[in-house]
Amino acid sequence: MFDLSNLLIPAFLFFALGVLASVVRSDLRFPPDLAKALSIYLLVAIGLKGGMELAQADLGVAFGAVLVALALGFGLPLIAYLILWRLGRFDPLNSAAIAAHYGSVSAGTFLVAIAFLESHGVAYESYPVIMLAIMESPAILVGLFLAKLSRQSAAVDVAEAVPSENGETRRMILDSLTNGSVILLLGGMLIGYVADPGALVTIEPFYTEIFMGVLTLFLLEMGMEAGRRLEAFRQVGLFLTGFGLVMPLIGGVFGLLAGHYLLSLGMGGTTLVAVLGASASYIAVPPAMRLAIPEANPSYYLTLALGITFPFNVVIGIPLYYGAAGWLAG
Amino acid sequence: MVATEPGKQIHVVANGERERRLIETAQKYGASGYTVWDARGGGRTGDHTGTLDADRNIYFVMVVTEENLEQMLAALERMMGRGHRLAVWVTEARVLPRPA
Repeated sequence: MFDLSNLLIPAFLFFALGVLASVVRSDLRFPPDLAKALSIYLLVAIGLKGGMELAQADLGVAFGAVLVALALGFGLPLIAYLILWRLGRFDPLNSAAIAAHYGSVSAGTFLVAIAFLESHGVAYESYPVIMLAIMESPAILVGLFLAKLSRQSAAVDVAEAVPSENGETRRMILDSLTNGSVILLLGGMLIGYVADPGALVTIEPFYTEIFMGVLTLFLLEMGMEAGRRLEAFRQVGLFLTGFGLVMPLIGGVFGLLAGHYLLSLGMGGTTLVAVLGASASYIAVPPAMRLAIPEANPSYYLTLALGITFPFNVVIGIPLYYGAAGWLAG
Repeated sequence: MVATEPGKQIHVVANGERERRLIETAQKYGASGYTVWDARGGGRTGDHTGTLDADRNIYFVMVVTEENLEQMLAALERMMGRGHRLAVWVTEARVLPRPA
């Protein structure tokens, strides 16, 4: 189920190199906005590929995938919130902000999972790509809702903040549904779905031949970011560190069960749904939470999502979910 | 000697997500313009390298008149009161008026 060869894929190795560069305080720096440029390419590529495959796929299953994605997207942050607030006794606002990260998804983790499956020659369905796009936003809405509830129950003077706060809330909801990652994924999928296959052949090499190479550079930078967060472990504390390791397993189990029993996906597809359930956003959700729940400490959710859960999923989680998906598949 | 007008230069370092709100505030309370730079730095919430959107800071500068200063600072204080992490300071400015 788990052996060292699981880690000997370029995607993981470049991530590890980034962590090492950060830990030894190398002066290695990426040009500004390079991570953003690389993620734009990766999201478009995965969306396009998903759309092209969807054109050959079963729309009924696709619709089922959307419903499952919504269920996971709305349900997982509630579970995370209850664990943090009731079990961990964290204040409701920090709990809401952290929980929103665990209901959303990490495109980076998803892409590493794809690299892992392709290195093992395992095929996967395109439906998890749709789920990736759908699951970006619901958790943000749940985070907003939980924060609003906790402010009201704390009898914060909402009246003083209302005129600008309500307008900002509406804008945040709109922003969460139209954020860049969602546009790129859904837009890429739509283009892949409707475009003439003969025309798509002309751009396919750009989005397939260099995909894995671009992913390694992206993960190199993410590794450096994750490495920078390692020092913040002490701030985060034992309970949150444990949460960052256990919550992916909880989300992963839900994803496995959904992928296998609800969507009847193969081993590859089920692994990807598990990864979606297990991952935590560190790109789309953190800026939304900085706006929506400014009282929450960004160090907590950034350290958890990028410093703990992301490396955990890359090193241990993905091979684990893959093994479990294989066991379920019999 | 060149004739200048007195002004107050307000400096704000904030998370990049605040940019739109700061622009609205500047326009609402009488700043004739503003300038924004991308910024890196660190503080109580850790290092802000700018790699992630949540980590991206901006350095926002505007010049206002003495009359508008208090309202502008009050608006920024309300933002901080809602939990947004801003660093705000004021310096004196001598502004060259635009030619008529």
